[in-house]
Amino acid sequence: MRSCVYAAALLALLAGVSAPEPLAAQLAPRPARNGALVEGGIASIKIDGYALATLANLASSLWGETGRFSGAGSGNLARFETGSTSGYGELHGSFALSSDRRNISVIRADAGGGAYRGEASSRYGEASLTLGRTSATGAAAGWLDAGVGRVDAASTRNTSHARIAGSIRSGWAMVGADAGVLASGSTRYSEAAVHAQLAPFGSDASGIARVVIGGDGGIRSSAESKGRRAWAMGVATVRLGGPVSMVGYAGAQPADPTRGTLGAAFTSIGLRVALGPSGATRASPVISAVPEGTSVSAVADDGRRMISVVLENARTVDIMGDFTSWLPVPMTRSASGTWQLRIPLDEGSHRLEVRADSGSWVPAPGLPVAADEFGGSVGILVVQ
Amino acid sequence: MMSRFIDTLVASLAAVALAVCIGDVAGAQGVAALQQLDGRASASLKAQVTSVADSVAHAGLPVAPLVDKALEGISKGADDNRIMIAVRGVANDLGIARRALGPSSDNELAAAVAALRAGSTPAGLTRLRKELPGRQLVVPLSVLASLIVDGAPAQSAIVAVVANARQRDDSGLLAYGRSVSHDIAGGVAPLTAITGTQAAPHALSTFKPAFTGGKTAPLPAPPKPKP
Repeated sequence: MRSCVYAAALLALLAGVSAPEPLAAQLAPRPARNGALVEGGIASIKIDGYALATLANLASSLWGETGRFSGAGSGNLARFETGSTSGYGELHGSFALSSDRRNISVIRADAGGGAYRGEASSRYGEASLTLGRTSATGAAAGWLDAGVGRVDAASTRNTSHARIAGSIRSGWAMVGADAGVLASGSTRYSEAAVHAQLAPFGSDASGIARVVIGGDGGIRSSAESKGRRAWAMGVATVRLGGPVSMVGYAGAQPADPTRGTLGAAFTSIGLRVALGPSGATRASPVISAVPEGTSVSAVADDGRRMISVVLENARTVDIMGDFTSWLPVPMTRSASGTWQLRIPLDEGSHRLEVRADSGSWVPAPGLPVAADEFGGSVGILVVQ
Repeated sequence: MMSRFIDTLVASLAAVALAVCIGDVAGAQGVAALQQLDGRASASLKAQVTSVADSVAHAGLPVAPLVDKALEGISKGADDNRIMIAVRGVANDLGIARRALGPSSDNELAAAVAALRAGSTPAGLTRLRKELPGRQLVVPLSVLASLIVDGAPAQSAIVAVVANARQRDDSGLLAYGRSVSHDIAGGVAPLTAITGTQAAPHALSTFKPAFTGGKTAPLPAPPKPKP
């Protein structure tokens, strides 16, 4: 019976096995925004090989961002095949220390807890600091993360962790890796993991990936117990239309000693309904929420500069501006997925527009936008 | 037959006269700039732009911004009247910029025109020149234009650019402008963004709702399996 509470909390895990959103994507400039998410489904889980349960689950979350602050709350209810129910909730908040968005410097706090019919409960709290750097386009990022906390479950323990991590992405794929050490009470672990996501069928008109396939894998070892455990899991998200997606998960999730998370094997399938400007309506936050922007390099030896434009999911991109005498010039796609043009560019303020797939001309993304004198608008690029 | 000959002759003479006029007034750079209109502007439009360019060149101001504005209008399919309104506006702003800044490079004047058209006042340009003596103003003026375009009040933007330009070189000033732009894009009020009291949402918004790819939920230690 007690195992049911573990199973209930694992429902949060079941839908949370996709690769974490990389910092490169998270650091994209975003307007103040908020959203909500509801997800329901069924799952079959096996906790460390002995606690097998089939569950029906309903979960929801609310989130918001403004200025340097972001926060979210989530909770879920589960009903087991025994007829019993459980509840679980979490709160998360973060605050950015730096005003330069390419500098990653964030304080974060997490807390959560749950109960199963009042018979068993768990609580945890954790504070962490993340420092790192991301590239101008967000295509690559690296960071260090360290934190301390406390978990109160079957016993009360102090916890800590330190990790180094990085991620790179192209227009349709992301890979990331991290390695670190963590401790729960007197037990210390070392771990390494890789994450990947693909959007093999592109995005719809709203920029949301139609299908996303993700995978995670890693290994964790403990010097004290001389134990080692490898794990892997996969997730597929298929957008059905509007805010509705179907999500399926399968694999084995490792235990998390700093949070007291159990290891488990699982399969699940469910429907997700997401409300808000992005969040879960974007089947892949990693792939579809990449920062779009425009940048320019320093002058090269040949006297030219490289203009780079990030326009996800475009097959062709043209650019025109005062530096092209307002004639369209095709850009070329780099290996990193950005669209580029090498061209002489004087110091000062330049006006430019781009178009994707021979569509309408629009101000280049990420630039201040001014009204032109002809009823339209134009992007302003300042060059030193 | 005779009529066609006369038409051709008149057109040729007009073209020669125009070329001579351009060459006399606009100089080599002006001629090169105006030649960009060949094949893209109607004869009427080119003649009107050339006429304005003539006046601008006589005043010792650059012609290129006029041609650039005409080409922009052509590329966007605007009619000749609308293009000429814009071209005359640029010409007018070039004169205002020159009076506000005093002796200036062509690039400074072009940047000043961008700032004026964004919403800066001539007095603002003068203040930049006075507060930043001896400094090339191309980047400060361009950053000023971008801040105003982003929604910052013009007077506040001028104060912010002056204050930052005193402490930073052009590269640093440009970084400041980008940072403000990111902040505003992130939802920060423009006035707040330029005064630096709040910055971009770093959006390490890593609250990670449980169902959107977050950390796993915490659980108690596993119970011992029953025998």
